[in-house]
Amino acid sequence: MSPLFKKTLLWLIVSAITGFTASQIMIYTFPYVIMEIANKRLFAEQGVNSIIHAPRVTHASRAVVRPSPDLVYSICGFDLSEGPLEVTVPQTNGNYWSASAYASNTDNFWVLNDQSLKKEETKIYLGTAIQLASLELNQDEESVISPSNTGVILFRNLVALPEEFSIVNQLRRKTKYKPVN
Amino acid sequence: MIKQGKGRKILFYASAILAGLLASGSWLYWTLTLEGAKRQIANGPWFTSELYGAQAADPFTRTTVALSGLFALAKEETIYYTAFTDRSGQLLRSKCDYVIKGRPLDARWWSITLYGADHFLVENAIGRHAYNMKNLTMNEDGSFDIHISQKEKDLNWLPSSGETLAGTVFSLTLRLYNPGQSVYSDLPNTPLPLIERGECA
Repeated sequence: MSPLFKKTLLWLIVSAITGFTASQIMIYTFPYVIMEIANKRLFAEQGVNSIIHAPRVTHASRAVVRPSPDLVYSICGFDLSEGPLEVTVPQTNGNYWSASAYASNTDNFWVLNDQSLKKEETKIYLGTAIQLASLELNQDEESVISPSNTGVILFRNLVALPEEFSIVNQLRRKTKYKPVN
Repeated sequence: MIKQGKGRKILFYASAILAGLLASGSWLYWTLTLEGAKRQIANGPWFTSELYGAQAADPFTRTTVALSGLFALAKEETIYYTAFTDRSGQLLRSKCDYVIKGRPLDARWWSITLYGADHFLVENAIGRHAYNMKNLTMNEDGSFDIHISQKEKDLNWLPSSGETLAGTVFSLTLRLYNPGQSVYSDLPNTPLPLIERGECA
């Protein structure tokens, strides 16, 4: 084996190992990085574990691409490191409503819409499997196991006509969000 | 002499590492592009993806979802169809007039929204960015026409004028909330509105 061949082979091996390692790191970390960027944009001011009731979407809304002007969004970043959270959602005005939860790797692991809201108020407990196992919940209370300690809950409230905004806005502000004592 | 030899060694390894990084970046870009395209479902000029809102199983799928459908809902909850072209395959352009012709869709709620080339809503004089099943004026036969134009129209006018859009392409998103099973079980064939191009400036 000539020294030149040996050198070329070594160069190719180093290059291949670097390329493979870098691609694996990128493919596994991209979703987390994208979620982190979104979190920084959305929760920079208010922080996590509190609900942000975003104003109506306009041409000036730039936080997330392709927003729907028919919806008003409320959003909450969650952090379960201190314990599980209790979310109380009110009955809607009959318009489409949904709550969806996203893990720190962007997976949408849970969704609930207004057709499943049977009472004036529905309590939802969000936590890790271990945290929720220690809670004693009533049968009509929903428990949601989060695969990660951090993530996002997004509430979508349909405003079909401009005159509906006022009532939808009042109702969404009845959503409560607090740590479980 | 020793310094020169060390310098060559550094150059040797640095060039190999740089080549590896460039190769991995290119490979990732093409893999994700091809993966995303492979999973897209066409229905005339509209396309959708079963990936949106999916609880992804593998890292490739998850990364594709994060890049193209962050915070989207699963297809049983909401279906998102997007169109960048008219029915003849020409890019949607703000200098042209279009008519979206359709009939009410099989969903609890549906809407059609216009986005600029930057994927955000477009500034316009009447603040109109979308039409939905409640605010559309229907034709006598139960069908609807939405007029996309820079010039004001009498009915169902969706303005394509605006500073960020002038002279550029735009796109449309059709959202179907709580779609009927006939829709989400047959995404390529479910009847969707036609996008017909009219006059261009």
